[in-house]
Amino acid sequence: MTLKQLQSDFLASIYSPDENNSEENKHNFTDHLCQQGKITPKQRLSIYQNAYLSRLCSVIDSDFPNLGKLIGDDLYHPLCQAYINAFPSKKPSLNNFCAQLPKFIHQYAPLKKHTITTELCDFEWQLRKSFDAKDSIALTIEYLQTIPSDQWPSLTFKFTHGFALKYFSMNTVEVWKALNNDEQPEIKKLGVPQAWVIWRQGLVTQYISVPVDEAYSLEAAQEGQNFESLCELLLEWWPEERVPERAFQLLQHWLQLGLLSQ
Amino acid sequence: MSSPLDKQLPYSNGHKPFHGFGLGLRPEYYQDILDQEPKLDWLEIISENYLVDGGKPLYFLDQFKERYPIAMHGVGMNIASTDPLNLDYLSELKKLISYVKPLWVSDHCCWTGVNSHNTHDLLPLPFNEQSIKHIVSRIRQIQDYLEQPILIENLSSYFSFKASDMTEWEFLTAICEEADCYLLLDINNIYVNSRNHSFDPLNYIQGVPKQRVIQHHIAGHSDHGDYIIDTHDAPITPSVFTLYKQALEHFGPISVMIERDDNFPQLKELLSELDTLREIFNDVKSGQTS
Repeated sequence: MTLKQLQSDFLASIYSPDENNSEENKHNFTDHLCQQGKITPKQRLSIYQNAYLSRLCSVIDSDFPNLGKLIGDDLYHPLCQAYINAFPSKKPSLNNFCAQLPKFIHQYAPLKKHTITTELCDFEWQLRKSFDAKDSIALTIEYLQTIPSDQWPSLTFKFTHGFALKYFSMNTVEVWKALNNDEQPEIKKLGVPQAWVIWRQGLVTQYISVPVDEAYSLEAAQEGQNFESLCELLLEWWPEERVPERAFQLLQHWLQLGLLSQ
Repeated sequence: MSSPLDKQLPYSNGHKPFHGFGLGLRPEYYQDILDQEPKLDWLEIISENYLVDGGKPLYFLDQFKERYPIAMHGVGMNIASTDPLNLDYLSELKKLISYVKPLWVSDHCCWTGVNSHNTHDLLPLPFNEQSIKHIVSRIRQIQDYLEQPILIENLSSYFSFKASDMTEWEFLTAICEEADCYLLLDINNIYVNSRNHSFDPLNYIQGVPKQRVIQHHIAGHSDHGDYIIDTHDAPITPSVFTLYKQALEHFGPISVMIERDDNFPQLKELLSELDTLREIFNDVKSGQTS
């Protein structure tokens, strides 16, 4: 038998999305193993099978520290198992192993209709992404002051690498905070979706809710629209004479938070 | 005939660097180590933890790099796999090596995945000529790519293949000699395997090439009676300390560090274990000089 075949058979014996195949693969692979002491080859192989699942489950636990608390073990463990089967790790690093979980949970029958679960999953993954995002040099107010006034209308903005804007239709962040403090959350549907900004300031991951005009402006700025377009957008919420003031207020806010980068 | 890598092998002439007593750097201890500045001679990082774009890991790496010598230890080289070498990974690793300027770079003598599926576990393979030939070729390619020799670590295992026709230490010896690489000899893993596969751990220690051993790992394990699992989640056992003493008597001073990967105790407990290693070292040293 070639080494390639042996490794493929070993892998099939510890990982198989199909329970029946798994048993058969395990049985076949034990033919390659020595009988040693009181422990059977099948028991010895089980050590690897358990280690495989438990290692990947612990990555999900670590990236989504409150998801399991929200849905409980009876839903969480099958979810982890289903995800591990659907998205086997392809990379040497586990940093992005859970990247598909927010999308996966949207299609996962037992949970796809639980909006709080899908939103909390999305929020936790964004916190994780912001945590590991590439470092950025935050833009300062002083730097903006060096820009000549005639260039302001065409000014566009670049956001720090860990920046994200999310809309939640439930009180997701409050639920997350309660779970994080090991408290019982009160789950509520909001009248209108709330916008949340998630980013990393220095080494600390941050999140803040923003009003609707700010959220739309952030979205437009992220899409590459210039300062003049942002001002036009603000006309939807503000009278024309208040728009410049509001636009500068927003810009100042973004700079204070460290959302913009050079 | 000398190896093309000889100029980068300060220890190929029998002189091995001894860096003392180190600790596996884990995020759980970042702040304590910086605050307490404990008596640590060196640190070992898990390379993959720093193959990230930014944020805390790289910030702390900078801090530690200024304070301690650092060795790089990986879990992602997938040395023994029959998949093609992952050049993207090696390229990232090479960049990190150039940034950290480590004491040395190590990974495990095992495979972690095949058919592009990574298990993130350290998986064994048969101890035979076919495996040796495959691994030697891979290590040579890796060393050429990284432009430096690597250390390979012996792993814990829970079964033996019928296809093996030599001992684990004969297997490692052949690989190190033929690939011209070095050994990170994990004392705990030798103990674990000696129980799981019923052999005398001293035969193992005496069976590997002395001049190739550059570093030791030492750790705790979970003893289930009929078998042991290498969990790194418990204090080092007296049997493993004893084996470390026997290794010292045989190899002489080898840089050693403690690995703790779960059930993290307070830093002072690990420092106390390091003190025990120092005491053993001093006892052996004074015994040899008296």
